[in-house]
Amino acid sequence: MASSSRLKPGESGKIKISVDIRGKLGTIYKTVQVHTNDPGTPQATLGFRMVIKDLTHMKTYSASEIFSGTCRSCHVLQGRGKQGFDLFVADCIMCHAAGSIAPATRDMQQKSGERIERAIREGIDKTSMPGWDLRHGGPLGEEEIRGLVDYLTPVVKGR
Amino acid sequence: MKKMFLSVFILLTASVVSYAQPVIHFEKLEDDLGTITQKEDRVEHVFEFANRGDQDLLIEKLVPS
Repeated sequence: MASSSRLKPGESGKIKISVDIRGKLGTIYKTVQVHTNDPGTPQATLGFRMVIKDLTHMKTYSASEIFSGTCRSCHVLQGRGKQGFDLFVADCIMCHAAGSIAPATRDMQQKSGERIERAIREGIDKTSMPGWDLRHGGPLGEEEIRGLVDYLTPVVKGR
Repeated sequence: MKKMFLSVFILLTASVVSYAQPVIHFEKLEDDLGTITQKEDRVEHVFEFANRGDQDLLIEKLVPS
């Protein structure tokens, strides 16, 4: 929306762009093409970028919160009965997707197996990474944890 | 004869340079609004522009993406 579509020489104006962000998440890039009678710039493109965060995930959560209540439907129940990569996709990727709040898969695969295992079992202090081990209040048993560690610590072949 | 060509040339150039036209100038073409929470339903952003030419500037059409 332009404040006025006709400007005399020397006048200035504003173009207000409004974006409905309901239900939108992540990076949004909005552009508007402006058509003018200026022969030097018959068309200009205005653009702006923003990152939309949902309110549910603004704060740091503890393991007991993530694995109970309404959080449970995404962070526990989706992974039931799954192992390895499938379990990772069900329980982990919502935070560990590239560009999300937690390190991406390929970054974690650079770390040592012990470090990965400890993080999965006990969680990481001062972050939303919970301890997934049953002994640390998590929903995963020994077999599930081993599968995740294996997936995140690929064996280097040919050595 | 040479002089005549020169004067015609100057006349032509001058007419192009002084041809009256609107000139749109934007303060910014791009912006980064950073992180926004879902508290609001809408996000509004304003781009400022000016007419630096010597004829009326018309915004004929705005086409949003």
